[in-house]
Amino acid sequence: MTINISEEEKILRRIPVEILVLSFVIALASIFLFRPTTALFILAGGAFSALSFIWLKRSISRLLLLKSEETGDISKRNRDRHFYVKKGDRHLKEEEPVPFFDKKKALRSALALYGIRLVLIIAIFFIIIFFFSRNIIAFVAGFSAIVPVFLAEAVVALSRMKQWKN
Amino acid sequence: MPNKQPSKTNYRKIAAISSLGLMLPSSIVVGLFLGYYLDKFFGTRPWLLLVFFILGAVSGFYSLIRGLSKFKDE
Repeated sequence: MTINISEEEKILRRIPVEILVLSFVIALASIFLFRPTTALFILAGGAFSALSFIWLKRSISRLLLLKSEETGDISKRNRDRHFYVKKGDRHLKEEEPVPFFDKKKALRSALALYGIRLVLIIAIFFIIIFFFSRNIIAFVAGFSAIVPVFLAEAVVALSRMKQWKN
Repeated sequence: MPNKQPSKTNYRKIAAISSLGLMLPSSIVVGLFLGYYLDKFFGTRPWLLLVFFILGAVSGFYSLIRGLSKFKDE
């Protein structure tokens, strides 16, 4: 049995890049409409949004791998390769499931890691609110670039699903 | 020949990440917009912005945890 991760990983890796591209386009447009500082904050918001998405993706991937461990869908070696091998090895062969895995500890660590990252996000927002409060809307505009990107990806995924069904 | 179509499980992963990924930013954004305009209206900059940002972040994180636990239980 083989596990194909290429298509899904492609979509999930594409999203942060698309967020950055969209925020760059908005920033470029805002240079002419507003000020260069506004454009910089929009770009920073987009970069931050992409980063927070990557962090969330890592936490959820960890959680999903925990579920796979429960059902025996994926072995420990495949899990490790999934985490540490970035490119290549797209089709991994399933191996013997590992008999013991500390599920609760791993779940707690995934949540704790995301919690720490969330504190970092809040700290950055606090800094902007206190020191650059006039540019907060520009930062938020960049940060919310994730919303249209998700919508576009959802439309593309739905249209693809429809094609396969037909 | 590998199968190019994403499997049901992998689509579930994409759907989970997408919905959970939108929870936190959308709550933060709504809180910030609300706080920003209320601050402008009442002239209390930056306190209402701060309060609504914290409310948005807390509610977003709460929905995220709820979503994650729901997803884990399924």
